[in-house]
Amino acid sequence: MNDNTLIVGKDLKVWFGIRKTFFSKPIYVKAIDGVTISIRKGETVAVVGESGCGKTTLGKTLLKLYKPTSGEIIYDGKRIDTLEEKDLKWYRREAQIIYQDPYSSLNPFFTVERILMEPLIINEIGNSIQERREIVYRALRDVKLEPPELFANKYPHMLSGGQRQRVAIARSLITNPRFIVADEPVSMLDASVRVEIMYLLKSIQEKYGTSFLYITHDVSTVKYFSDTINIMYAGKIVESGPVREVLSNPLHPYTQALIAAIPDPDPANRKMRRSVPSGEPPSLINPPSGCRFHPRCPYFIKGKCEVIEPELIEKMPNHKVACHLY
Amino acid sequence: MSIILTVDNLKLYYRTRRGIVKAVNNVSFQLERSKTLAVVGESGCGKSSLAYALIRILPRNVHEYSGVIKIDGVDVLKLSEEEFRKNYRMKKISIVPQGAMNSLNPVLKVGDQLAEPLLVHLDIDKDEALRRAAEVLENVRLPKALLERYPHELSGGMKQRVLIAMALIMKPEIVILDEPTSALDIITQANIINFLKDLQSEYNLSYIFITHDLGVASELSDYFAVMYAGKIAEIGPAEDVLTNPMHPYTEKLLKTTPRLRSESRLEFIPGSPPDLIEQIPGCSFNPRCPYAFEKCRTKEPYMIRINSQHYAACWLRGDEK
Repeated sequence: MNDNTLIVGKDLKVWFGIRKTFFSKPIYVKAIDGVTISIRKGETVAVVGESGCGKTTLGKTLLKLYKPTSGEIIYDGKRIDTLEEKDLKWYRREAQIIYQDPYSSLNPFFTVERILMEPLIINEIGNSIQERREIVYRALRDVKLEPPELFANKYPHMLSGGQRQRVAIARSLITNPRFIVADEPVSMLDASVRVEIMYLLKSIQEKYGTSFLYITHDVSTVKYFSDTINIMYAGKIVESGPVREVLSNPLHPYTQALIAAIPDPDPANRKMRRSVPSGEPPSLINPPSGCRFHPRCPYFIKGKCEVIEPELIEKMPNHKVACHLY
Repeated sequence: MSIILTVDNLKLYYRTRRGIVKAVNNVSFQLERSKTLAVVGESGCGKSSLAYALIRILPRNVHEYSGVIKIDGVDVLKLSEEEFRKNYRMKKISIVPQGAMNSLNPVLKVGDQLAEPLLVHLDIDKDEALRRAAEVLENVRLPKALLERYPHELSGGMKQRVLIAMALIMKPEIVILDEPTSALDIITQANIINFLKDLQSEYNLSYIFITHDLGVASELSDYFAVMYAGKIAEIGPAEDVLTNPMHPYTEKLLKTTPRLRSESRLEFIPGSPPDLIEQIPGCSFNPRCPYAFEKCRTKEPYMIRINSQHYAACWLRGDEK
């Protein structure tokens, strides 16, 4: 860790208790089970995994929308996991989120201006309507919805999917945050719009030095919008490192499977089969013993993988993996 | 080479309050037996409408539904709904619908849902139908015990397999796959694609594969049809369309696709696709096309032959006439 670090999650655990009946003992869904992650200023860190691996929970926990069961969150040198909601108002301004679905994340009864004005009013930014309107227009220009006067008076249903996602991005930018969790920000969009939005996020990062946590299930987009990648499986990080290093030299069998599963457009694909493990990710209530990937792993070592949980070790500079093969 | 499906000047227009939506606008193509044709394009280009036009599952607000759909030489568009239902839908041509997660009836057991088409179409009793349903489950590599389960007890991949089983139960020859993997996780998607490949060679199926994902499309498809604004912009063998695209839209669409295994700069196509109500004079792609010239703005291009199987609707490929 160095001075450049903006936010760190240390050995985070987030367990959700559920009860079958009111009186029964709670059982726990271990959505995150011991995750350490750190994000530097102006950096994009990607978290990749299948649905239910805990990637969204991780993002929301770093935003303190969930309280971690154990572990620490340190933002800009301050511990925030112990703070009460009333002492977190400053953090709500500093850290923002962009959701996956721009069709449901915008209030359909509000105009774009009202959607963007709301955070300003809540956070008491700007003194007059005119001043706030200026800030709103600036944010609209930042996300290339121009002329801003035109878009400010529209309702979400009058906008295309890409334009809606731009409004969602403008809303996340409006409080001048230093940290944004982008939760699958492009997965609902068409290919061309997806590229546009990724470039937009990049340009915002260059302009404001924002740090991003990029949550996605799609390894192929990570290369274009991230510096570091973390692969999550069943509530744990199984591999992490610089994006290009991990993608060109994946060490964990799960990472290898994720990469093998993605086809590039190539007519030769139809003459081959993808070598991917069968089955689906385990339940987080009773995850497999030892390495959580062992029931699906092609390199399963009997007597080891199902017994001992592998530690995340640094195999190459900055490239860590949690696997008994190494 | 035997042709199983011929589509000629197929039109499917919808009536809406704002005007006529030309979702499928003069689409023509042929499908070879045991081969796959991918239909790719952005959302709203009419690819799903094309699927539903082929299997004749139409909404109420149809304004025009015309053209030729020949299955095994018979123009099924001329048949009455009753004849089509009895002899073609599910039996000759079936569909795996989009959205594996919510296409099954949540209050019926998987077995009852699978057996339903058998009971409707064949003169058999329920036990026999369930026995055949169990067979089909085996064909899609699922345990028989699933017959007694409800959809919420299944994972996404299993639901998708059940939907595939349903599409196969009447032993059709043509299967339309409408975004069969887009709701699934990546590894599950790869498993389903592998499985669709096996099924195709096992049962000599012909696929029409509707998708927005060029990578996934290339997994199955021998031929590609690229749709834009209700029309086919380019059609041809996968090798030609993917490596030597002849329509600027195909070329640009390929450049928007992220690639894991090669270094490429992603590009986007400025502007957005037209809605299918307003009619753009000339080529409907011309406002977004970097190569557009005068003719593109005034005259609509027809399909221009590149080689015997590869066609593109672009004036760049035609002689000045």
